[in-house]
Parts: sequence; structure tokens; C-alpha cells
Amino acid sequence: MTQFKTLNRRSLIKALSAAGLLSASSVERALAANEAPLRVLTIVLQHGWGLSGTSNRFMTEDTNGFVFPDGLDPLNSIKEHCTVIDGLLGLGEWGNNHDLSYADILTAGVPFGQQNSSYDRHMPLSVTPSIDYLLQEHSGKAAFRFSAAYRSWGVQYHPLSFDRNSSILPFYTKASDAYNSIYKGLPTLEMPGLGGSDSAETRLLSQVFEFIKNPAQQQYDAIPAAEKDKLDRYLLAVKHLEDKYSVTVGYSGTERLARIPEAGQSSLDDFSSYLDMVKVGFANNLTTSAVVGVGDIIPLNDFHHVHAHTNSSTYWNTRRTYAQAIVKMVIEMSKVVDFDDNSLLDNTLIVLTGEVGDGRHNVVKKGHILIGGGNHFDVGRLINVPVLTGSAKDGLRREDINGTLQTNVRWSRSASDRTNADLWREVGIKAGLNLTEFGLPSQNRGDIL
Amino acid sequence: MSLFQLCSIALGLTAIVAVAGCGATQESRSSQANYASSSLKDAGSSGSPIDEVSSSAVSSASVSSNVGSTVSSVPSVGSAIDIIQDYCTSCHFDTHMQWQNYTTDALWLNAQNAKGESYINELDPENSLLLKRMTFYRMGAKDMPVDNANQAEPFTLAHYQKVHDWVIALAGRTVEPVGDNSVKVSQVFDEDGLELALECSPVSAQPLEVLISDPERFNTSTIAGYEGIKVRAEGASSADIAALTDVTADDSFWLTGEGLDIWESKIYFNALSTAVTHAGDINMTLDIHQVEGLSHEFAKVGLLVSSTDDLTGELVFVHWAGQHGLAEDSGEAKLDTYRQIEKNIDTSVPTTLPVRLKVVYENDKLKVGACYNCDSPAVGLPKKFNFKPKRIYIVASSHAQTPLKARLSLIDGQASKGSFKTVHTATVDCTSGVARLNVPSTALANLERLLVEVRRGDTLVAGASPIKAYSESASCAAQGALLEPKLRRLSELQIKNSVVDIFGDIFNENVWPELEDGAKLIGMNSNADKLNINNINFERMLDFSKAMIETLVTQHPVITACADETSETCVTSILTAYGKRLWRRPLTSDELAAFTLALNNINGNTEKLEFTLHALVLSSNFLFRSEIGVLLDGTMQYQLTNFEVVAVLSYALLNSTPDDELLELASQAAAISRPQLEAQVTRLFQSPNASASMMEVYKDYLKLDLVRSRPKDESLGFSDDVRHDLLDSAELMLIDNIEKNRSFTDVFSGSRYAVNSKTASVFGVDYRDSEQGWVDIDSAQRSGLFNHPAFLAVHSTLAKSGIVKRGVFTLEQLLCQELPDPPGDVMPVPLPEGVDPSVTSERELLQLTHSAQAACIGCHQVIDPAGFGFENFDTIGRYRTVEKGSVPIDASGVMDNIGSYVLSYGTSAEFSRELINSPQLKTCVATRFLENFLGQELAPSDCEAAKYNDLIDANGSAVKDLLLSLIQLESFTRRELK
Repeated sequence: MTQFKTLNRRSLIKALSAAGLLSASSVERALAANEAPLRVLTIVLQHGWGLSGTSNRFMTEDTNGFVFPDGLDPLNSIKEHCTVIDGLLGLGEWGNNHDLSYADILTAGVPFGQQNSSYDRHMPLSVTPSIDYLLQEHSGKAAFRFSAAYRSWGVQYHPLSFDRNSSILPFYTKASDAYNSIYKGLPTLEMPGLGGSDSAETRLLSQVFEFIKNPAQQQYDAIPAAEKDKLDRYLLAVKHLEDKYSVTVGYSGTERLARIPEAGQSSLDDFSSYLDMVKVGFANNLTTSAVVGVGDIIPLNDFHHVHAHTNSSTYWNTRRTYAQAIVKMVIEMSKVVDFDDNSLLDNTLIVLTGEVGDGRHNVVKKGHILIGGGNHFDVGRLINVPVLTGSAKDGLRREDINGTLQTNVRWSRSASDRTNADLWREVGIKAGLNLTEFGLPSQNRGDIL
Repeated sequence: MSLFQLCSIALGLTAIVAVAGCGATQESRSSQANYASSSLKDAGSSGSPIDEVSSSAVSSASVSSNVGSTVSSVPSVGSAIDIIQDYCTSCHFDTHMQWQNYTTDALWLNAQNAKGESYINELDPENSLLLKRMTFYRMGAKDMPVDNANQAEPFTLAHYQKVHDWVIALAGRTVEPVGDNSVKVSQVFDEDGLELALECSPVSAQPLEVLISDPERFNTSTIAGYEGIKVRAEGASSADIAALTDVTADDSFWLTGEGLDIWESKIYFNALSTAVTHAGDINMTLDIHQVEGLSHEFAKVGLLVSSTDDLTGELVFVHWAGQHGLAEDSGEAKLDTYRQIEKNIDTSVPTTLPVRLKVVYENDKLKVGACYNCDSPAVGLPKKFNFKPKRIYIVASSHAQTPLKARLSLIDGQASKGSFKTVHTATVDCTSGVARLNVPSTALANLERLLVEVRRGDTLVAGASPIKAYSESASCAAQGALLEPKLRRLSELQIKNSVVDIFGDIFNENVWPELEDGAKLIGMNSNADKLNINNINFERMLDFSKAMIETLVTQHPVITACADETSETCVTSILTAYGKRLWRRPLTSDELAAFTLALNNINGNTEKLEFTLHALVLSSNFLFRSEIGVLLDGTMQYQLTNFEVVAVLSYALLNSTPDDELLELASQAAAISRPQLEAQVTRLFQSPNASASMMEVYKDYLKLDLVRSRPKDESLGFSDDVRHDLLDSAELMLIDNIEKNRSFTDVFSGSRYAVNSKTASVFGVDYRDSEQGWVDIDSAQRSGLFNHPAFLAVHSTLAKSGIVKRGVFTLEQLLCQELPDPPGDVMPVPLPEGVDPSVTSERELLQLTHSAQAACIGCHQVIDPAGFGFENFDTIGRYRTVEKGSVPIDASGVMDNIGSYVLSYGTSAEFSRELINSPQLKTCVATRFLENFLGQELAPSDCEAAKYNDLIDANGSAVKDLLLSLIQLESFTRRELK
């Protein structure tokens, strides 16, 4: 793969060790990690990235395969790192599927017929965990989840990520908050926990966290099942802080944030900060998975109708802005040498996705753009997934909330024979997960990559 | 409402025609209408009137299936189901696409009954969702334009009328018993149960047998009357049914299956067979519970129908196949056409069981269907044939040398008519000429509809089909409509108020947590299911806890003194005293012991206090208000504890933790009485915090806090200072109105606004003081909170007034109206040639480019008038009579489709006053308050919301009455799991 610049991390570790800046155990730990994991960053854009259709601009083909249309044109400069998937199915059945499919994007787990939830009357929830959560489980490192104004209907962030209890996993909605929570206080080199595991405050808080679990558990045992979910989340949150305050290793400090995000900065700046934090998080092994939601970054009169439904220059200018920020991060990632001497980009898969639902929206051309990951699969391809029409399309089914396969899912006149479940299953396997299927069983239809 | 009443309505609407669905001619219905009713309840009772069905009245009332009524004056528009299938694709409301599966009356009925759908309201068919939606789309008033490109013709009044009549008839469709005119039955069926009054003439010494059944469920049919048959290569032969079957105690039966093949012309099986009667109609359901001895992947069990008396005609075989799912085979004298119905996902294992297979023949159509473990399979035309069946076979074929055994049960909807699932039987003595029978609701399996048959010996002498009608006095508990037990996380403001009330106002403004809860535009933000502790919120709580403790150990006199002491006793005192306030109940001895144990491992009072305060504030016992209660034996109901009750009251009234007096009251052994609660409402309402607390509910209802963050065009100069001061102004106006003890809707009224030098230009007044001061503004221009710039700036777009935004908010939030979601691919329509947008009003542009579209007009006819009424104000709430320099503003409109009260207005100020005076707003505001108080989403029609509104109507409409009515609700102290 093309390398813009190389910086051998292995050499750096040894040099730091020689200079006494890393402990011997840290060096051993770092050098032992000679198989770099595939990191996965998903960038979810309100409505989707679009490659053709009534609201979209078409891709064209050249001798090398494809050319991104005006608006996504910054991606042409990194085309050799891109893999384009032409069309995937998502949640079906409902005409106005954009609003309904948020929970399905990273899960393929919203049952047929579900159209709302206690979270929001427009947003059903998933019954299966999201890919970022599975990767988090696998690595033992919390996924980064950021929202740059990816919201609607008054909810603070769209329900994208789910654990195994169908609980919505929270997103940071301000880059400054994310920084304060994840990065602030990290020393420049390897750190022994927040303030050090031996600090008096850490010891006291550890006792507090241990203590408060008991009354919560007693309360948990005494309440109706329907309410237990609230205490499940509470107990998970306690554990989250408990883990955070017992961190002893993690941040190697070889990659630094370009700048510290400021409170009150624009959502567009937040987006750039998020990408920066993801890059640094991946490079320093703070996490292996991240989700960034991108939405109404630029104030518009009526985002939903004017922006997302209109093939206007404004619409495409925003995409160009987002694409530029992504390309900048991609180039920077390609300069970082990973544990295995490949570039960080070659060990990172960036998936650009969006509301993949269909209903009356034709999904055949609803594309996914994959960037990076060259160390794990062939990149630089346009993948046309099989398309079903006519009666063949009737074979597409989806489980309802009781697990019964339902027919008459309202796909478009033609429909893709591959789903987001297929994509995440393959991505998960390449990232080390032991998956035979992902999301709802019916959505596993075949390989893509 | 009985069938009798339903059909009266139908006749009233289509007076000159027969209503086939009501199963009688107009004349016979008229005679029914003249039949006198009586009442079982005493005069003055609020119980339902007796629905009276005499044997003569029902003698010809056997109701048949009807797909649309026969309406001679209506042009031919196809059947009602066809109309729905053809036209309703863009109605896009919640259960939208389901009806594509409902191709028969039976499926429609089942969907409403068994699946709980509500397209057709059987108790009140005129209020059926289906009809309401069509009315919503202005059906009933005029024809509607072509709705989508697939439609060949517009949806007209004739279509509406057809569907209307069908709904009315379908809702009332029951199978009526017949009688011999010797017994008259009257009944009341309500929350208490069924009361039957029988009048017997002539009197007979023979007792009456009363059979009460569930009209939605058939008893399992027997296989008596079926013939055994074996079909092999050498031909068909009779078989001893006893040799083929083994009937079990639960009415299911084992069928032995044999035969080496069952495909193409090799149709080999064992079967039970019967000729089809009932003019060819079939409604046959076969449940396959178990299959034993399966040895071939293509073994099959199912229902086979034939167009002839044997297997030489057209055949359709719907079946369960060993490892290949559910399917339909068909052919002429053979089975060579295959259609998969449900696949077996893993064909390496046997196909899932149980399954239900169905064959229906009605309205000249043969339909089959199958599903896994379901109530009602969707049925559709077979792939190849549509024929009138003459014979039906219950088939089992092992496809192997060895037999299989299938455990089956049969529900023959034709043969079983009159054999519905029995729920209660009784013997009644009517020798005196009259008799009564009371059946408590507990004996009626929570059914909403019943079938009553009265027999004397073998003779059916009378019957009735009562539908449960709750009396006005029926409690929500009796209706199973109490609110649910909940854990409710404290809001940011409740955390702040609670901590300040407990420790004093000694904290900096920057200590309070900012939690990631989002701000819902529709509904109330206090919803218990919306407020959670997740990782981020818990991080914020930890930051808050640290900051709070830092303040307490340095500034709080008691805690500071304790930190300096060497004795640990004060730590325990602080734990006990402040723990009770923070957890809203005394700590149990176990909890105190756990604290003591933990504190023993900590050195120094400062550290002990830090641990104690962290552990109290970060505990779920502080963060979550418990409205769970104690489960009452033998019920799903939970009785809230006294401490929970006072917490509900305190947070409802003061948005804060219960004070010492409330906690003392809660400690009494007896349940807190209503007079005690009323006294506390009166006491607490005198607190200055009460007005502020009520003000917060109004703010949430209006979503005023969003004025701080709504993006606005930079050219407007809508600075943070202006936003802040406008919000402050609105809060002052609300508090002023609350404290004037106005009615809770008049709180929105008034033309005195708080203004300062920064907001004066927005209000359009000359006011130069930097402090807020009251200014009277011409009420013809600006009137009440709905004309306040803070409200108007929230509900508008970046640079425009936002007619649609304001309209939708008015309908959904202010008036609690339900709107469908917008359709998917709506593209703006180009402006007509010659229209210059720079000299055309936004109102007109909206109608030209958006609302006029066929897919939009239905909703926008309702939405737009609810938004036009704010057009006298621009995006930040400045008054205007023109826009774009000189284009006149038209802020007039009529809202005539949101209930009986018509809102008609000429200006925005008039619209504001109309809203405030409308009963719809009053009902909705009360409902929103109740949602806030009890933390659960409610519609005005929900039982507790309806009761609450009734109480307010009875008690008074002052703000305080919102609380006095609250404490009278059952759900204030009792909850129920759904």
C-alpha cells in the first residue's frame, strides 16, 4: 500500500526504552503486540453518503473502477484505499425509514414491525448488540462513541450503539466533554491510571464504587423486570468508572492530539476533534473501535427536507467538508506505523455508512464506502452486490419481535441481496470476532468483501 | 355497543339502503329499534343501559361475511378491502403496512381482536382509526386528489362511504344465536361482570342452561364424522379411523402417516377425509403440535383440498414438510407445483413445530396459509388454482417405509359455528317468569366480548352478544389501566433543588451536573423511561459529587465541624440525618451497618465524610426516585409506600426532595389519608418554590429552554444575552400569572410582558432600563405566552417563521393531537411559472410548493392552519404586518378538524386567545402536567388522564387544583404492571 511517510513505532519504543522513558515491562508488552488488530471506525452520516438516486449524484466508472462524484470528490485522492459497496439492505417495511433505521445501522437487529420505543416514538431499538460493542467486548477497551450533531426529533444523539441488553450506549455530544473524559489527565508517556492507582482519591473512589453496587443490587432484586434495565445501566456505569479508575496501562503517548478541543467550538470543529481523538486512540491502543455520528453540523433552515432530500449544492458542500476532514485523517493514519510495521491505516477500517433502510427508498444504490484496512482485505474495489427483483425479492424476510419470520417486508421494487449484517459479520471476523452470524439471523445472506 | 346499536348507526348513515353486514333488512332493523329496553341497574345508576336482544329480534340476525356493504346509491368502487389495499399506501401511520396482509374479513377481524390492532374499533366503530384517518384526510367533506402515481382514480366520497359502511358492519359482526321467542334476555356487561335478566314466557318448569362463550375462539373440533383413507400406488382405500388415529384427552389426536412419496402423481398418504358442506365454504385450521418417527426430509403433514370427490381434480396441499419448512403443493390430479410459504432456516434439522395451517374458501376464493407458532396465518390465493373445494383431507405421509405419528388438533370454523370456547356455564330457574344471573368479571377471562346462549334442554331459546362497556364510575384499576410502577431518575433541576434544600444554598452555580438527557420536543422531559444513568451521566455525577463535597467540607457548618473532630460519632449522625433526606427515607439498619463497616476501613473524619457523601449521592437510592411500591398479594398491583407517596407529592409540587414534615408524615404506620395529603398540598403550595416548580412544567410544555440554543441567522443579532433575557422574561410572566392564582390555562394569557433594554426591540417597544420591567403591549398585536418571543423563537426556523414547525408543535404538543409521520420521498414542487417568491408570502409559497402536493395535502390541511396563526411574528418573535418589505401578512385561519371546538382567528393575538380558550388545550395541558407529575407518557384518552380531567372539571381549574386532583387519582398511590 502507498505510504505517505513511515515512522517505525517499534524503533521508537526501543529508543524510548533506551532513554529510560519506558519501563522494561512496558517495552515487553508493546513489542509482544506484534499482531496489530484491525481497528474499526464507523462514520455515520445523517441519511447516508449517497452515491446515486433521486437525492444523489452518481458515481462514474473509469479504467480503474470508479470515480467519486462531485461533493465526495476529496475521496478520489485516496481512492486506492477505498472500497465501495454498492447497496445494502437495512430495516425494511416502513416508508419513512430514515428515522426508524438508526438503531439498525450498526446492529441489523431491529425486528420487523418495530416502529417506536420508550426512547423515542420514532426510534425502535435493536435486540442485538452493535458491532462496536462486540469489538469492545473483544478488546476489553471501551469504544469511542462521538456525535457531531447526529440527532433529530429532540433526542441528544441517535440510538446507534447497543449492548447485549438492548441498552443504548451513550455518545459524547461535545468534543470537549469527550476529551475531558478520555484524554484529560493522561500523562505524556505511559500512565499508571488516573492520578495513579495509589492516589488517595483513587483508593477512596474505588471503595465508593464497590460500596454503592450493593444497595443498587438490592434495589434491582426488588423491582419489576421492566424497570431493571435502568439499574442495569446504572451498574454498568459504575463499572465503567471503576474500570477507569483502576487503569494501569494504556496510553503510550507516541501519538498526540493535534489540539485540545475547546468548549463551545462548532460541531464541525467537534467532528475534526473526534477524528483526531480516534486516530490517537487507535494509534496508542486506547481503543479498537469507534463510532462517529455526523449530522446537522451546518445550521440550515430545515435540515431534513432542504438538506437531506434536496440535491442542492449546499447538500453536497457539506459532504465535501466532511470528506475533506476524513481524508485528512486518512492521510495522517497512513503515516503512522503500527505494531506490525504496517501503517495504521492498513490496520484500520473506516466505514462510511448512514441510514440504510429502504421502505420506499430505493436501496440498490445506497452505498457504503470503506477506507483503509488494506492489511486485511483487498481494497480499491467497487463491489456490486447481487440485486433481487420480482418474485426473488419476496424471499427477503425479517424476524418480528417474536422471532417469527415475516413476509411482505416492504422492500423497494428491487432490493440488494446483501445486508448490513453481512458487512458487519465480515468486518467483525476480520477484526478477530468469532462470528457465524451477526444481527438478526435472517439478515445474514452472504459474503460481500 | 351491541350489534343492534351498531347497525342502527349504519342505517342512520345510509338510510335508504340495506346494510348487508348487519344481516337484516331495514324493516327488520326498524322493528328491533322499536323494541323496548330496560335496565337492570337502579334509576340514577351510571351503569350502561341494558342491551336487549330478544329471541325474535335475533331470529333472522345471523350475520354473514361481507366485504363492503351493498350500497346501491354508490358508484361501483370495488370492495372495501380492495379500496384499502389500493388507496391507503400513503396513509403512513403506525400500523400502516400490516393491512396489506389482511385480504379477508376474517383476517381483519382477527388482527383487531387477537393482535390488538386498532384500525377498527369494535366498541366504537365510528371512532375507528381507519375512519378517523380518512376523515383526517378530509374524507367525508369532499373528494381528494389522486394520492400517488400508482392510483388510476382519485379517492372519492364514494370510496370513503364504502369503507365506512364496511367498518361499521365488520365491527358489529358476531355470530348470533337463534331462539324460539320464549325467553327474552337483557344484559349489562361492565367492569363488574355480566348481569343477565331473563324473562320467560311461557313459563316452564324446565331450568335454563346458560352458556357463556368467547366468540373469538372456537372449541377444538372433533374428528367424528371423518372417514379414514389410505392412498397408495394401487389406489385409495378406506381405513379404520380407529387404526389411523388416537384421540388424546385434550382433544388433540395422533394421526399415523404412511406412504412412500407425496409429489407429482405419487400421492401416497394416510388421511382423515370429509366432504365439504356449507355451500363449499371452508374455514379450516390444523395445528401440528408434534411429529414423531420422522425419517425423511420430505415427509409431509397438512391439509389437502380437492375440487372433486377424489384426487382426480384440482388439488392444493398446504403442509409442514419434514426439513423443508411450510409450503403449498398443487396440481391437477397430481402435485407438481411448489410454493414456499415459510422456509426452514436450517434444513439440516426438522422444520419448526408447532405450526398452524389454514385453508379458507369464502367469497368464491380459495386461500391457504401457514405459519410457525402463530395465531392466524396470513392466507392468500394458491399459486396455481382457485376452485370450489368438494373434499378436504387431513394428510400425513411419512415418505418412507416406516410410519410417522403427528399430533394434531383441528378447528373447523364452519362446523364449529355455535361451538365457541366456553368460559362459563350456569343453570337458571325461570319458573317465576323472571330470572337473574350475575357472573363476576373474574369468571369471564377478561374478555371484552361474549356470546351468551340460553338453552332449554336441546333448544336454543335466546342469545345475546354483549360487548363490555365500562361504566363511567369504573375505576382505572378495574379497567386494568393504572399507571406502571417506575424508577425515576432525578432531573438536573431536581438534583440541584434537593441538594440545596438539604444542605443550604452554599454552592457555586458551576457545580451542578449537566446530564446528557436530550430535550424532547413533543411530550415532557420528565418521562421516567427517558432519564437514565449511563456512563457519561455517571461521570458527570461523579464530577458533581466531588465539587459538592469540596463545598460541604469547607463551607457547611455541620460537616466542616465534623471534619475537624477526632470522634467518629458526628460522621454517623451526618449519615443518618442527611441520608434520610437524600434517600427520601430512613436508612435501614442493614444499610447503616454496611456504612459502618466500610467507614471502619477509612482513616480520618474528612475522608470518612467524603466516602459517606459520595456513597449517598452516587447511590441509586438518591439518583432514582422509587415509585415501585409493594406487590399486593394475588394481583399485579403495587401499593406505593408512604415514603414513595410523599416523594411523588414533593417532586410534583416543589421539584425537590420531601422536607422533614413530609418524611415525618410518611413514617406513620397507616397509609397517608387524602385529607392529610390535601393539607400537605395546601401547605406546600404556599412555598415560594411551588410557583417556580409549576413554572418549570409550563416551560417544559412550551419548550422555552430551547430558546438558548435554537440556531438563528447571524444577521438577526439574536445574541446569547437576548436569548437569556427573553427566557427570563417568559419565566417572570409565567410566575406572575401562576401567583395571581389564574386558572391553569389562563397562565398563558396576558399582555403585560417583562422587557429590558436588550429585548425591547424584539418586543417592539421603547424601553431603556437594563433591568426587566413590566410593559403593557397592545393586546391586538401580542397576547399571552404563545405570542412571547421566547416561545416564537424556539418554534421557528433559522430565518423564517416556520409555519409547518409551529403548526406541528401546536397540534402535537399544545393540543395533544396525533399526527402521522411525514412521507418518505417528498421533493419540493417548483414554483409555478410567473410566481416571484420575493413578492409572495411564505404562506402562499408553502401552499404552492409543498402543501398542495397530493402526498402532503391531507396532513397540511390540518397542520398549516395551526401554523398560520403565528404569522404575525417572525423567526425571533418580532411583530409584523408585512414580510419581504411589503408583502402583507395573513395570520388568519380556521382549525375545524381537531374536535368539536372550532378555532377561528384573524390575527396571531386572536389565535393565542382562541388556543387558551379551547377545551382541547385545557385537556392537553392537564394531561401534560399529569405526565410530568407521574413521569409516564399519556394521551388525553387514557384512563387516568381522562379521570384527571374529570376531577379538574369537578374541582376547579386553578393551578393548585392540578395538585389537588392529582392526589385523588388511583395511580398516585397504586400502580399496576401491564
